[in-house]
Amino acid sequence: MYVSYSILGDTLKTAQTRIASNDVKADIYSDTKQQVDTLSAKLNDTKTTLNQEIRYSLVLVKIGQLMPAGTKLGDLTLSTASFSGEVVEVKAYAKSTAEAGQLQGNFQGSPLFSQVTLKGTETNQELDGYPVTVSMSVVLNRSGI
Amino acid sequence: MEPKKQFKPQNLRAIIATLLVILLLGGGAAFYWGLGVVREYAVEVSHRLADADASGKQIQELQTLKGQLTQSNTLIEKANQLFATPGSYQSRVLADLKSYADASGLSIANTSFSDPAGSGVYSITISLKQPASYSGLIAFLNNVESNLPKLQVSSIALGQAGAGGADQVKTGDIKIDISVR
Repeated sequence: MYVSYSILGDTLKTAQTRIASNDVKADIYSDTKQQVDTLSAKLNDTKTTLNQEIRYSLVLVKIGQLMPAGTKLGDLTLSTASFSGEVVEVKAYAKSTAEAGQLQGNFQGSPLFSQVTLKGTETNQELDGYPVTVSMSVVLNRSGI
Repeated sequence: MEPKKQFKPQNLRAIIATLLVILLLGGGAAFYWGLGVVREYAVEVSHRLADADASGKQIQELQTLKGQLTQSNTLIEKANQLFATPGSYQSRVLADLKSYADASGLSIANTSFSDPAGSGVYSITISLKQPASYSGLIAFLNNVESNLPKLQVSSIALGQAGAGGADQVKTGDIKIDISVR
């Protein structure tokens, strides 16, 4: 029992010496830890900024690709809220009701939009050569960009 | 006269036997107590050893991190480039936007910076000379979105230019958030 106690005592002393020596080393690396913390905070800022990124240039390209021949985009207002589930009103002009229907179909089939609802079509001459005015409400999907 | 009591060998044997039992029980109790002490000490030692191993591992991790930090200077520089400083962001953003507008065949009509003191958001609102070309607008936005420091369009309004060409659109205010720190 005495021998066991002595061996355990020696082992304890060795462990305590190692801890003390590591504490000294840890002090030496304290500025490293500070640097890592600073870098981590900066990279978190960067990550947040990049995660919030919405590329409107891509959105406009995709909307342009969805416009069939014989249609023109009218009024459209986009903001950050538009990509968080807010309903967006879209106005477009078409040469005929056929193109207006095709436009609605293209929007409904695109992953960029969901809840595409036709609010109404109007026959007028708001835009020369495009007698049909189409009003729709849509929800934009960030994942569809 | 009563005969004198004699200390008989049986009595001595009984005393020795009792003492032996007491000694055995005492020794057993002492051994049991000692075993408990050694066991507790062993637990303490094992905890200390675990602490020593953990602190050693921490030091190794710190050494690795220091090595990685030295190699990550480029990454740090890139992360820093994403942000402008409060002192210089206005002139820099104006210059960048003007050059992007020129490159896209557009012209900036008006600019106004927000007051970050209230909202904490640094932003600029611009309007373009009308009408603007749709493809030029897309090129302009693409350049803005690729800019360093990071610029994020936060709202844009489009309308039909009417009598303009097929590629012409009417643009409303374009609000652009600026990453500043």
